[in-house]
Amino acid sequence: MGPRTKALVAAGSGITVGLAGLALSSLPAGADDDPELPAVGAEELVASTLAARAPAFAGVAELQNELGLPAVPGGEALDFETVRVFHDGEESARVQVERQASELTFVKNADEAWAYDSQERTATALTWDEDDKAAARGHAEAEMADPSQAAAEMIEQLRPTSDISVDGTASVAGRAAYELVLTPKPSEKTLLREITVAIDEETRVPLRFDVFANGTSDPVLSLGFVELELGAQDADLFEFTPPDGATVETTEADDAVRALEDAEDAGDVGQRATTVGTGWDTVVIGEAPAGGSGEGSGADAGARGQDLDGILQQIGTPVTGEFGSGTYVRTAVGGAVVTEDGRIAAGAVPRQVLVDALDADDADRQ
Amino acid sequence: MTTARAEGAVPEAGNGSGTALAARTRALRKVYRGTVAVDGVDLEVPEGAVVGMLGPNGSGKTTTIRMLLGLVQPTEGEIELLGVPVPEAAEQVLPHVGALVEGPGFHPFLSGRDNLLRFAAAEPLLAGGELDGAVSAALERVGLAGAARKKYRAYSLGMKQRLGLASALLAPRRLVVLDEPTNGLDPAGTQEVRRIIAELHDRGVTVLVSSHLLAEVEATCTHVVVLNEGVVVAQGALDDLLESGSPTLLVSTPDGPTAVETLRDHRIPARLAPDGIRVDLTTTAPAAVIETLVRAGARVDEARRERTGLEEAFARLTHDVGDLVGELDTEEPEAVR
Amino acid sequence: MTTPHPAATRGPATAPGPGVPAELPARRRAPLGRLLRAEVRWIFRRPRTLAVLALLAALPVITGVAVDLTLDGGGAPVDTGPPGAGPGASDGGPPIFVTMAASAFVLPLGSLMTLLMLLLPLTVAMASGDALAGEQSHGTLRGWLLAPVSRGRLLLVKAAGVLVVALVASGLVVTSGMVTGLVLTGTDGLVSMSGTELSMADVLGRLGLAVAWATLYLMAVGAVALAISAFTEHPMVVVVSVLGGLIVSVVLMQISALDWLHPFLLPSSLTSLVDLIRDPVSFDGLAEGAFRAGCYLVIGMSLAYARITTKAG
Repeated sequence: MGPRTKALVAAGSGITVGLAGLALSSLPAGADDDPELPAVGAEELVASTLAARAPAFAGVAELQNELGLPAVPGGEALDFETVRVFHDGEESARVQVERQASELTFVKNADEAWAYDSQERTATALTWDEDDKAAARGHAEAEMADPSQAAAEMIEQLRPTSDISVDGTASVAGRAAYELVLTPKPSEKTLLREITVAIDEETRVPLRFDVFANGTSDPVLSLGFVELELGAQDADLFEFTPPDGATVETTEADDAVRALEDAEDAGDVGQRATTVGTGWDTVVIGEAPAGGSGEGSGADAGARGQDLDGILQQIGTPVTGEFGSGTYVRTAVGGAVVTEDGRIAAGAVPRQVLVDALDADDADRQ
Repeated sequence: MTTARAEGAVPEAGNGSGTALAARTRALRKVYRGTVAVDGVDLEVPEGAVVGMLGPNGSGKTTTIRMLLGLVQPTEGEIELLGVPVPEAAEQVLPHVGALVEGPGFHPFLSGRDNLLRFAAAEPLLAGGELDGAVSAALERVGLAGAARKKYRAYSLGMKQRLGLASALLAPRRLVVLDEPTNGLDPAGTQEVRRIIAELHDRGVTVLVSSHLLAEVEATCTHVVVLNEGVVVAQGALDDLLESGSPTLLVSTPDGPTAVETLRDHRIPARLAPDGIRVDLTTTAPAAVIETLVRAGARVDEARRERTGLEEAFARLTHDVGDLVGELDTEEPEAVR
Repeated sequence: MTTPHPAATRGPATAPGPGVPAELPARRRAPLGRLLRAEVRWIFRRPRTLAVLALLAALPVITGVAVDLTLDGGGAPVDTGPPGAGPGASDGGPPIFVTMAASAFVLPLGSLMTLLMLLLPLTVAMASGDALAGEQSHGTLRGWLLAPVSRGRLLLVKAAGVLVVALVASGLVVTSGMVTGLVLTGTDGLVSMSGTELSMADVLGRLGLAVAWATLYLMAVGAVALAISAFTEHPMVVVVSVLGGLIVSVVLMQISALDWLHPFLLPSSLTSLVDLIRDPVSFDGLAEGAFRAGCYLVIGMSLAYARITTKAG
């Protein structure tokens, strides 16, 4: 073999190997064939999922967000790509919401729960007495952005208003899973087509959920594990001591429960929030925050509010009803109406449903 | 010289093995993007000889040397260096070959000594402990011991050239290849290079030196290879080459006209010259000429073969006589004559 | 010296066939360690190398002192140009890189991330450019080829030299950052992004890992630079090509329509260094980045090898 041939072979094979490696790393993981699993009834699958206790595991979940949300409340909660979840199989869990240059860390054990925000350097503790343990734990869990927990809650909420079926199997994070499909009943006035939840065959823990809107073939929102490993976790993971220099706030569980009553199911949608309707066509109504991302305060708030109005007028259309008038903004999965008196109504529903909900809200308040 | 012992120890590099070749090429050809640089060169470098490679710039000298040393892949042909094929076995033979190709190459921010140490580290024949000594010896040999610690960038052109020579002499060599070694040197430097070549020759080291300067080659070489436009136009021992062409005997005699007539009677071509006669030796030998003259009673004061200068021989062998002579006139340092 | 040597005048031109010269001893090679030492000594005596390394050591000190003064003086965190803050950290308060930028843990990592974007790759590109193109233009490559050093070994030694530069440069940045942090804030601020306090040993381990990872990343740049270096005689061409490649990569990474291309781009690994500040450390991104760097390394080295074995010396 002459040096020229040898050089060509070296260059050719090197480039091939290198590019193949790069291509390999760019392929999405878990492209395995769908596994063969024993048939299971939809009701049975749902029941076993809701009854299941998460085993001890460590996992990494990724979020794919194609919602195309404008700067509306709640948007910030989805501003992340990766969540790492650790669970000890009993009381304790640790969830780390990883953003590009910061992190939200939630740690919960038998006695307390902590939330730490590296950006603000604030640590919030939640403690409780023996008495209100149950309520406190419920609250702590609600705060955790555990994807399997979130999926299970969603199934529970949507169950009454959905047609539920099992549609084959899938391989998620290397584990065999059933695909549970929730389709809105014909009476539901929603823009969503269906939600699929992949449920682990062995543990019955939801591994992934995908939200599909009418008229699109790719999910508009997908949150699921890309890695999951069952097994005991290091106990240190479930302890939290606030670091020096962090701002520490402590909340008693009964205070928290009281606060929760005001803002039930509201997530980030401000202090006063109510829901109208149930199931798929639930509309959440809250106060529109001035800054749009929930942090406006002091002198800037007015200016930011005007900015928001400007943006809304550009991307939205005017809407009127018995509640008054406002601006309607459409997204991939639904829409929102921001009223002139500073309320916001949002849901995965057509525009008229939002207007009706605001009218109903007005009626309630009077 | 401190390196004398080392080089004397090189095995079997003896003089006069006669038939052995230190370097040989067969039908060597190199084409650069359609331009033929070297074409069908059959080069023979006898062991122990000092071979001058002569040719105008662009005649293929440097390309041939680069192929000999495995720096360039030949388009066609075979090369043997010290009996092994190149470039296939270049790694085996190159440690025994010292070379200065296309001018000296060194790093300006290092001293002369540090530059040499860097190259010495790569010499397979030097053991780790010998590096310092070898570098000092090489520097001394080229007369740079005093400037060893100076940065290379402060060197004069001549010092740079000498440092290049030193790098070719770092390890004991059997063959030393020097491409235009006197380029940029002053007369004293040129003499120094000649002295080094003669020393190598005395020690039985084969030297291949390329030059476009005729006097240079005439002064230092035992053998000559003449290249023109990539083709070997002549090669052989220097003496043979100088005597080739039409051999002539110069006879000093007061009886010029008689002598010419006598020789013509014996069918030997001859003609009158200023202080005697010139006899063409194409058909006869000097002894026969003198015998004929003496028998005829012509007085012979002196008879000697006329040696053509290399310049004339060279001009005879190459096409572009005018160019060559012009080049010689302008570039040859006067002091060398 | 005009007298021809009597023995050598017996011309071979008429000899019937060439004889065989005395047999050569078996092949010998200069020891690799000696070549490496010579290469490293050469690299670190080059004034240019020393100047860049001095700059690299100074930058974390400057950053640390500036942040420390700003934080102490104004009482409020700075909100401009956080070192290492990637896109997406633009709103909602300063990220950890600013609030803790003077700590002995975040300062070295933040400095490393910032400098890995441009200055460190350029340092390595410069070393690679000098290694082959620069030597070629000085005519010094020939010296080693004639010694001889086989071309494969030559490339190996050159790559090792670049590796040493990569290691020293990233080690210097991290060490300088850590020492600055320790002087400014002591052992305060050894806190992970997940809110855990870390032991000094843990921090040192993470910083060591960062240096190793950065070295591999830089070596991937260096391999590509060596390949370019083998094709040219101008070291500047190497530096400019690497600079251009990095800038184009970063621009392509901003275009979300080219999502599929992003895993092919070397700088898309850089943000994963942040994971070393998380607790527990998430190794997925770092491993992916290391794998990607490995792919670039293979491509670069094979191209450099192909070129160096066929180029004229």
